[in-house]
Amino acid sequence: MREQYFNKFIIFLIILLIGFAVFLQISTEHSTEKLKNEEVLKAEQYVHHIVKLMQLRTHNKLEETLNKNPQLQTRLNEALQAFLTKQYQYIFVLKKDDKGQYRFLLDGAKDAEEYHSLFMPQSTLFDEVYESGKMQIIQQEDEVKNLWLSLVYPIVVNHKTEALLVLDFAKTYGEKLSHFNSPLMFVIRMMQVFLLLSIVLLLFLAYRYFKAREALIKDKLTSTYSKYYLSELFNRDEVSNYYVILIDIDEFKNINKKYGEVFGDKVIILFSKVMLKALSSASKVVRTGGTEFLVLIPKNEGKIETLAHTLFATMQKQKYYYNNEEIYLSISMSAMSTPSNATSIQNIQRVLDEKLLEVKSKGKNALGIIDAKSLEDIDYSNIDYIKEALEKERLLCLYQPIYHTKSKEIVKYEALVRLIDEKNPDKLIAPFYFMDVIKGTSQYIKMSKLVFNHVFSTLQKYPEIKLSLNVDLDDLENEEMMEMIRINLEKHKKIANRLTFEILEEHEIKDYNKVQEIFKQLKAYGSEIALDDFGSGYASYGYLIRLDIDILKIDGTLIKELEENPLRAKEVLQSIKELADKFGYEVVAEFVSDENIYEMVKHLGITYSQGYYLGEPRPINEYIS
Amino acid sequence: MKKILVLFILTYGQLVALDKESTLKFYQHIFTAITSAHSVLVYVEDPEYREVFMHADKILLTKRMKDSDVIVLTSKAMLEKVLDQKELHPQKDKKPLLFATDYHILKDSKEVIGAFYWKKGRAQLLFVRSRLKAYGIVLSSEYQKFIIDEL
Repeated sequence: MREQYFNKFIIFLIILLIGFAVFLQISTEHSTEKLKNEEVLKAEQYVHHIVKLMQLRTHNKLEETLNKNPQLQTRLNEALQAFLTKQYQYIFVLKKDDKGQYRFLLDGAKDAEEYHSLFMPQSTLFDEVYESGKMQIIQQEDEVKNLWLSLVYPIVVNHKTEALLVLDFAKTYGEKLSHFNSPLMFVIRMMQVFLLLSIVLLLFLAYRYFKAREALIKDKLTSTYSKYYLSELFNRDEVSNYYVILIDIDEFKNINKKYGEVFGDKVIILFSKVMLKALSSASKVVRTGGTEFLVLIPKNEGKIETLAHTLFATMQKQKYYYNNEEIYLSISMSAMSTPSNATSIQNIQRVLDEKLLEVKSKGKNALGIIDAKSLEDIDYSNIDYIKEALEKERLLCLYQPIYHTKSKEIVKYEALVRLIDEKNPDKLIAPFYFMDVIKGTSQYIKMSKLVFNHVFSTLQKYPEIKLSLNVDLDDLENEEMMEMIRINLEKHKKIANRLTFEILEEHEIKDYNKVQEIFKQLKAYGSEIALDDFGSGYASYGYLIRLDIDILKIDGTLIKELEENPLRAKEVLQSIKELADKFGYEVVAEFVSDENIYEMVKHLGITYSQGYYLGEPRPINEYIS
Repeated sequence: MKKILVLFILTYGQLVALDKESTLKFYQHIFTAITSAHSVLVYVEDPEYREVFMHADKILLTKRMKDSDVIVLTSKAMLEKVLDQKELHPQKDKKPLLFATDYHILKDSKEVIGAFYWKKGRAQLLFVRSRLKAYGIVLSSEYQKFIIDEL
């Protein structure tokens, strides 16, 4: 469950529990009140019947009859007495005399009050009942001894109140009713206490969580954010709302080495302070490495160019002092405005990293801003995007022809992989965007399988053509990849002799014997081995000595030099040609981009040529037809 | 403060007599009201009352009836005894005043000016108008509703 939903669920749960506890309390209290009301109603009915009886016995002339008939008075007192139970404390009948004083007519007590003796009810409600002729319930206070409620019932004859019948409920009975639901109330109280403790505990845990979170997302040295903050920030905010700047202190190890790590730390602290001061409070600074910081600035604060230059200038002019010695830092920065479709900060970081490397390779202490156009295709470098493209097999191979230089006849085609854009199927995505991202992952193997399927199906469909395919030396050293290649060659062994493996090399070969063994296995099926990009990087002369190859593909940068430095370039290419001839290798010139180069290549006697001048990468059917 | 307390107690019948301190304060108010004195000499035989009154600021207990301002009558026997004494030793200023703790004692003798007692859980404070008049006692307005004409 995502964190935000989990938090909402917990809050909902607490509210639900509080609501439940309140509901239980209210409903329990309500049920207690209902019980009390029912008891009062019952008493009211009893009193009503007693009054009816008294009126019947006295023929609606209560005082007059009682005055004349003391025996009846005694009998009615006894009747009232019979009515008294534990729940009723007193029952008596009062008459208001001419002077407004209440006097006893009847009394249900064992030791009945004297007839006509005085009584001070101490409540104005008695008078109200007398006046209105309507019954009232008086809630007695603690100060009135042992009483809970008094039911004051008017004895009305011909719309005139003759007397009042008072029924006093015992305080103990009120307490009994109040405590009727006390076990349940106890449970509710316990539940409330438990809930309260749970909330306190939850708050404590929340406090601990926020403390731990702060420790995790804050960089201890600089008080900027740590890299863990990034994923948290972009869980709740869009990457596209920010400009992103990557800033790095160049050659910082020299500072540490020269002045010591303690001073080095001080420099980093001051550096981050200056940076924070130069930025708005809405900006975020994340320490992504020892001396590397990622700065996020809300887009509404201005233009990226202005903001980046201002920050760069501020950071660059900052001085640091070591024993009165002034020190300036060399700073490299890359900045970009995130495209509106950007979804992942990792991709942004990757692009910024590349730009930062470019800045550093050009001499450091500079700012490089990535233009918006180059960001349009940023999604193509998103691993999820590539994964989805491969799952849906949005992939195809284009074929660039390799010509026989003299006759200008196509002798072979180089298969070049492209991904198909999700929204626009006519738009093809070059390997530049995705190859580095998937290299070393299972997606790379998946893509290679798809490419092999394409290539072999093309070879099957067009029996007269030959194809070449780029394979990284790392791929051949990978067991899984080699197994896949072997299976494909075995499956198509009749046509495998029309396939050339163009070997790309990104680092120096350590085990030549192993590589030679792999080449042997490939050649066993009749396939040829071409050494790609010969003359640059690691594809050196040493390979010619130790490896059994068939074709040399001269690096395109050397061919390009034919335009810039034709004399020297010709000499180099001539020597390669002669060497290849001696070893019996075929030679291919790449990057033949115009007629001039083509003529020079032809003049040099390089057997095969490839380049945009001769033919662009296209679907194979466009060439065959 | 005194007025508020008296009003509180008497208007609503909420005599806080359930504890001794409240009872004592209440008696102090009554006795100072009927004697118009700052401190009142009280004669009472009942040990329970003596125990309560002992702690009063404005009530001084006396062992001799004739020295007292107010005699508290807690039984009919006490009433008879006091009436005998009054007859034997009548005083010019009609002192001491008699105050009862029972309705019947109040009813039995016209010499008793008032009573305070409990009936049906409610506090009962009564003064008889004619008797107050006979003793020349004028009570403040707070007590007017407790003055009755006849028992």
